[in-house]
Amino acid sequence: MINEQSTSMDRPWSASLPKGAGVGLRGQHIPEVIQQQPDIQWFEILADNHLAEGGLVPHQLMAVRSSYPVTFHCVGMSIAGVDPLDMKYLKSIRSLAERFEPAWISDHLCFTQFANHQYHDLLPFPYSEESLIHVGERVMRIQDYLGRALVVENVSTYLQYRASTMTEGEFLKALCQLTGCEILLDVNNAYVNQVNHGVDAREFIRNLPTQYIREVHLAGFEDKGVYLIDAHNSRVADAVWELYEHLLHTHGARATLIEWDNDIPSLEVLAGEARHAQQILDALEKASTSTDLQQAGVC
Amino acid sequence: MGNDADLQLSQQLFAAVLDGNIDDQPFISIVESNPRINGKAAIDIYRNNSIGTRLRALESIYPVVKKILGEKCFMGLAHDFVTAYPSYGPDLNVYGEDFPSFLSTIIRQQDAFAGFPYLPDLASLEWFFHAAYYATDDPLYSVSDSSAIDTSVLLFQSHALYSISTTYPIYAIWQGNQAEEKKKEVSAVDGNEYILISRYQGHPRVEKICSEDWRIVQLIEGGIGLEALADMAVEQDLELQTRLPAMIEQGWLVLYQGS
Repeated sequence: MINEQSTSMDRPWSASLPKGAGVGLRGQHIPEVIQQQPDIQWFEILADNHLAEGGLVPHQLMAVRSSYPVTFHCVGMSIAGVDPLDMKYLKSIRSLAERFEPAWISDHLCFTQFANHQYHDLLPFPYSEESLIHVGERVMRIQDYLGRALVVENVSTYLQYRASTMTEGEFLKALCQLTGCEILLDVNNAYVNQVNHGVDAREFIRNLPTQYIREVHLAGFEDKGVYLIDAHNSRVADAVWELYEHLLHTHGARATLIEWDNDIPSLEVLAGEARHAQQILDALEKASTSTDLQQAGVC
Repeated sequence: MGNDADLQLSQQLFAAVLDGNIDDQPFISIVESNPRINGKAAIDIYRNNSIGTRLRALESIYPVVKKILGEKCFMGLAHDFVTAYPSYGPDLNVYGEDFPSFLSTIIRQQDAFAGFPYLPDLASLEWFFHAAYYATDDPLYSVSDSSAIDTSVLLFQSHALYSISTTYPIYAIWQGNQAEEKKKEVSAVDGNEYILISRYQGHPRVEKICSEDWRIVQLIEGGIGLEALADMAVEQDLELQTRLPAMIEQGWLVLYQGS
């Protein structure tokens, strides 16, 4: 049985937390990042692409790390899976984390593996009390092994289970309260689920617990006419930017990341999307400073 | 549904439909009906994502095989491979090693590929090129200090060294299909062609080598002491004096201090 935790786990690495808007680091951009040191506040590393212990890859990553704060984003923990935890994989992630000191490590609220077969996709599961206990125990074990709070991302889905007794938002909130894990709130995924399933994205965002939201993802989707695919192959859509503003006004500023995984454009395009997110963050900060000053009677 | 066994069952059914092992209906019966995406369409999205990720990995590892077969033919074969060969871990960089042997079987079985007997060896070259890039680093051992090289020193092949012996001119075929290369006529191989794939300053390198170098490299497979190697070289009339330092300098061979 899991004991409820009232606070998040200690965060000894908090001194190097990324702030503002960052970009997901992709292989083709690494030489440019190392040589030109672009004005990007932080990078998210797809840890699964950096599991190799030899060759250029670790050296390149170290060169990036020496100049920028980084976080790790994973796809292989299979948090909700019924297969045993892949300890070899977790060992690799822990080893990478010891070497590159990411500010935090995230993965998705889904399963990716069954009967030792890896599906390389984010597969949904029923959101039920029983699943909550199962996932909670796995998250606790992962956190114990990694020695830090895990940051868990909401996913885009194309199906929902009859057996679900709670929403994804309720599940995430309960998971945070049970385990002390934190939330990577993917706004694009919330919007995709709104279109695909009629889940109110604003309500989903509003009901998430503010104190557990660690990071925000922004990405582009592919419009298939009657439904959306979370394709990460285009600019952030206007509707997603609007939801992002709603999120910031509801929960406050959060480290924000531009994710782009397919048909990857130049680094400048990604940096431009990050600048747009930063402008929204700056506007929010300016507005809240102004409100604070007014409340203090300064102006 | 409503207990751990049902979580197990839902994942078992989902995995089975993704693998194409069962009819979709049992899985569709446990998901909500949705007018925007019906159960079949949802399964297709996940199936395409899962297969597509592995197809892109194969495309990235085997660009020359793809170029020779053409997009449609390659993707058809790659699709057959992906559905027959599951992935067993999150690291996609280790997926696809069996593609050369899969091609070998296809070529034996299907007359349409009779004109491509060299493809498995070419695919092996591409896999080794990929593997050399990610291979574990070798421990450093200074060879400049000759006094440190004593009888306890062992020679090993580098972790990033791979070798191919083939009767097909795959070196010329591979080289002729690199983006920066101009087309050259490919001649048949007289006897065997020996190819080494290694990593130099972080980058994979493909070289055609002579049979003498090939034999030296093969003698060192699994590791060998310097004295034993010298004895075998005399027996086989191999010249080590100049070749060995060059092979070490090129990163093919590594010196280890024996315990």
